[in-house]
Amino acid sequence: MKFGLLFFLLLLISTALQAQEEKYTLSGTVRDSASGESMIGATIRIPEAHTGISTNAYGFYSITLPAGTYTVICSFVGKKTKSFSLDLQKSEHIDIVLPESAVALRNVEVTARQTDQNIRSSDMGRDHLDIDQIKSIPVIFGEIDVLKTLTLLPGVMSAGEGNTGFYVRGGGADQNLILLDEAVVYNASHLFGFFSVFNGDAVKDITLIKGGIPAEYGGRLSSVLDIHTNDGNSKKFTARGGIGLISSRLTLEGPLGSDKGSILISGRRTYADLFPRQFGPGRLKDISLYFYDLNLKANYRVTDKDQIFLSGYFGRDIMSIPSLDVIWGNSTATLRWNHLFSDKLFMNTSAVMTDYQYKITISSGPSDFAITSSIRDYTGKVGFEYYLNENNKIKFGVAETYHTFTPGKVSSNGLDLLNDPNIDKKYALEGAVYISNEQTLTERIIVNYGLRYSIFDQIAPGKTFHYDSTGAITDTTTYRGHRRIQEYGGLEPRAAITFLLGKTSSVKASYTRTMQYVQLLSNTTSSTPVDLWVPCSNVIKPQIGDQYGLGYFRNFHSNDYETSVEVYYKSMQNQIDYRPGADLVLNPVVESQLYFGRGRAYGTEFFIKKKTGKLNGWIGYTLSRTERQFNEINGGNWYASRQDRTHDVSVVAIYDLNKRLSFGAVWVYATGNAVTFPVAKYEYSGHLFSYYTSRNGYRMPDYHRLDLSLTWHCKKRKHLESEWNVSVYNVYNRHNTYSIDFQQDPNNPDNTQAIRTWLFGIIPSITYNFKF
Amino acid sequence: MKPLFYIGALSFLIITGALSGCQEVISLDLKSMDPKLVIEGSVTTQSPMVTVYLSRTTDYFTPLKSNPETGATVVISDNLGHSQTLKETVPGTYYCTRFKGNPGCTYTLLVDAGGKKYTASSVMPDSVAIDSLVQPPGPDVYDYPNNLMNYSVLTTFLDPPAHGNYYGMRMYKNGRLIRDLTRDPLISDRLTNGLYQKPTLSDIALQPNDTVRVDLVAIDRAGYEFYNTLQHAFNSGTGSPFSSPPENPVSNISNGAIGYFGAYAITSKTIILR
Repeated sequence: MKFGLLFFLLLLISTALQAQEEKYTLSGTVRDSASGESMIGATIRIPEAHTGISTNAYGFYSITLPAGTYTVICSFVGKKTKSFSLDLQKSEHIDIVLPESAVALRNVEVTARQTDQNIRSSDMGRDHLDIDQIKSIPVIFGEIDVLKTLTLLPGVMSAGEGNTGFYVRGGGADQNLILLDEAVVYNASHLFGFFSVFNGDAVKDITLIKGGIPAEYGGRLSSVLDIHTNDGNSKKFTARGGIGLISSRLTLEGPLGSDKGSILISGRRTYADLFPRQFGPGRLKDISLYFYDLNLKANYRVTDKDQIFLSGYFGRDIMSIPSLDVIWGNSTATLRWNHLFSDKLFMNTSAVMTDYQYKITISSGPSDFAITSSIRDYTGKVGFEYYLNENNKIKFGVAETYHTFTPGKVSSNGLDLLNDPNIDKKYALEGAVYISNEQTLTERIIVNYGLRYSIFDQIAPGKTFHYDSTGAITDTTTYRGHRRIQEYGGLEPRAAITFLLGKTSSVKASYTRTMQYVQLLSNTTSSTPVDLWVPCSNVIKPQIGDQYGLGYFRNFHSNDYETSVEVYYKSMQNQIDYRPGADLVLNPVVESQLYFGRGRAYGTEFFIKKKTGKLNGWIGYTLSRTERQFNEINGGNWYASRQDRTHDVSVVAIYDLNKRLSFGAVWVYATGNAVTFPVAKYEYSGHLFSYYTSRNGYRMPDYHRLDLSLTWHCKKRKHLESEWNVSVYNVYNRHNTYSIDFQQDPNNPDNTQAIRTWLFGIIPSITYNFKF
Repeated sequence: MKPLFYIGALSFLIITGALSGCQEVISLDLKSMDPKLVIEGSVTTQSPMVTVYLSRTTDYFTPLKSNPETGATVVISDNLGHSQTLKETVPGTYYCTRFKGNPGCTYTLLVDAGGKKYTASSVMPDSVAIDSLVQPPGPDVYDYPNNLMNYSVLTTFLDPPAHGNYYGMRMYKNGRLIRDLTRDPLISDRLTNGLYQKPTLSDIALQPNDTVRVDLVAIDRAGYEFYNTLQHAFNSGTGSPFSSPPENPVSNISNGAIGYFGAYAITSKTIILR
């Protein structure tokens, strides 16, 4: 570790001592001409200097060059490429406005990056998705879903049929850092995972980092999903929306004070339960199940150097059946201030609040009682981007989060059915400092190295429990005041290197260490509202992940085709599993229900992407293995974890027939999940029970499915633009196995049988989208 | 509003159809294993005093429900020096009627079967009296999939002030056992220590004029853990995203036998349904 630190400092010093000749800085913001939205990841290339840069999350760019005459080429997906020549004799601030491409069809390009960005950048295991592209991919019930589209990328696996949970390179669903405008989203799903919390109309940019995670991100083991929402149209008021089979949505946006800012409000509501309630049999009338969510965003450019953003999300799911009501959801709020100290130094300061909570109300006879549980974070952070010169881009910053965990609070009226079962709240501080540099060492070698130091303190008031091997409490300590109860911390080095082999190919390698201090306790694959986030404690140690990656990247046909092969190995320490019959709800000593072990994952990802032309899309294939080892499970032997899929294939094709009509197709194939089946049976109290010998020793049948979609753009009428989208899910009506249950044969009690359940056959759907 | 109309109509058709899902019986290749001994034993405060059922596991798809273990030596003893050898009355069923359980005593079971010895012990908890057994007004529990009205009975008892009490319940209809400890409710005083407990038992089999007897069975912590994990094993499906990985129940018997031996303190009450 000391060696790494020394190396890091030496690199920084060498950087600072470089080149003393006269240099000037070109900086500014890239924006969309129609809406005024800033563009994330637009590329600026300077061919004469053999260099280029892409805009940051706020559309800002800065590049420092020796005095001279240059051509500046700025490009972004679906926009006209703008180029101009510039005689750089002093530092210049130039805002670039890109008009909509006149010739290109909608959704023609699959990616929004510089044509050979994938080869040149030091990023590995990183994917960007463009929201326009997501909209042309067929989906179940016609609901555009960011998270489900992500699972079509290699190395990313769906948690199950119709489920928005995803596993990245063998990591668990809770090991993904999901950020919505910098706020952590603790439960990214609606309605038990069938929908994600991200409203396609409000989302601007989606970045998924599977490996080679930069030092500015931390707190989760496996991946980063960084989602930025639309700023809103700063030129004129517009409305857009869609009417679908199970939900409708509406977005309003417009300028805020003469081109200086904008405001956006976007909402969604599902109504799938209305129809069964109206027409279904008797008792269905008393059941309701729906969600709604709202996104709000406002931004204002106070001065040329200062911009303020306010964004918020509020969503709730409501499930109500006789005598039981459950409400759950997230809320987040982010206030950000961008400031330019100079044309080289960009600062982003944020204050973030995020909250996830659920409330269960149970009425039994004359009395009722409610259980509420929540996790709430307040975060402050400051991040700097220092564009030192054309070869070095330095990032550094600090972040501090105050967590409040409320595992369960019970309020009851009527009879005393429960005695004060309130579980003590837990408090924690999680802090981090980081510094990283992206450095072009030679024309062929680009390195990105960084260090992150994170520290986690569980603070009083609180209790700690000590347990024996059976989970019984042996000792309890109570802490008062605000003193520290337990502290963990560590260095998280990050490094990536790119060797350019030629103009069209490169080899990259990366190493990432990540630490995770909060964990999700969930005994099921699917997300449920009562899944519980718990902090590290004297019993729960922080999860530590080490990931090594190596990749070969090559483009063909003047960058029309991108291909890559990446291999990875990941080890995970302090993983969690559960005792048999674990009781996770309202349990003050929930730690007694846990086992601790380790995990490992390795695999190869193949990716071919065609970016342009009438026919575009990609093919991804992942060959991988994910295993876990716990002394108490499976006789202490390694076993396949539920994320383990040997083969995983995704084919995505989009065909734009003409300006009015386009088609989309998705085919997916995956090895069946590793599951536990019985080996023997026995009788107990006259009933039959199953006996199991090995955890996850069997496989579900393989999963595959084809989806098709057709989008018809209606003729423009005055201000109204509209389109119909028809999609068919599971076109060849494969009955993919959802679960296999074992039971006594109802017709012959001596026999036992296995019963297979499938969920979705062929499902057509239709959505009408409009914009004016 | 034409779009709305089309979408509304289609939505109804699809949602009612698509969400129903389907099931079929399939054939699967499962591994096989050497049969393991299963022990279900109890000492109670009521007759029959000591009952032990011995059987062996069979491969999952073997068309055989019971596989009793015969010819075993089964001995019960307590911490006061009493000891009795059980008699095999029916194949696999071992009885003893002259060994009454007493709260507070520790009981030990010794089984010698197939050349291997197995032991387990259990401390009998204090018995807890049922305060009342009543029929709530009206057939109030609706059984949705079967579209039937279930009758129910409400039991009330007071949990003792000390922490760590566990209970199972049994229900008899006209003298026939229709619900045992492998089914809900299984009660722990973790959240309700020292309070009145009001479990409701309902069953499709219950009809007006039935004589219903409810047993309140006080069990030890190992018993709660065994029946809890047994119920969990029974309820956890396989492979569904909402199920957790199935596990074998936590046994309190040595040498790898499946099952549980417990000392049960039982109290009862009877009601005739209206």
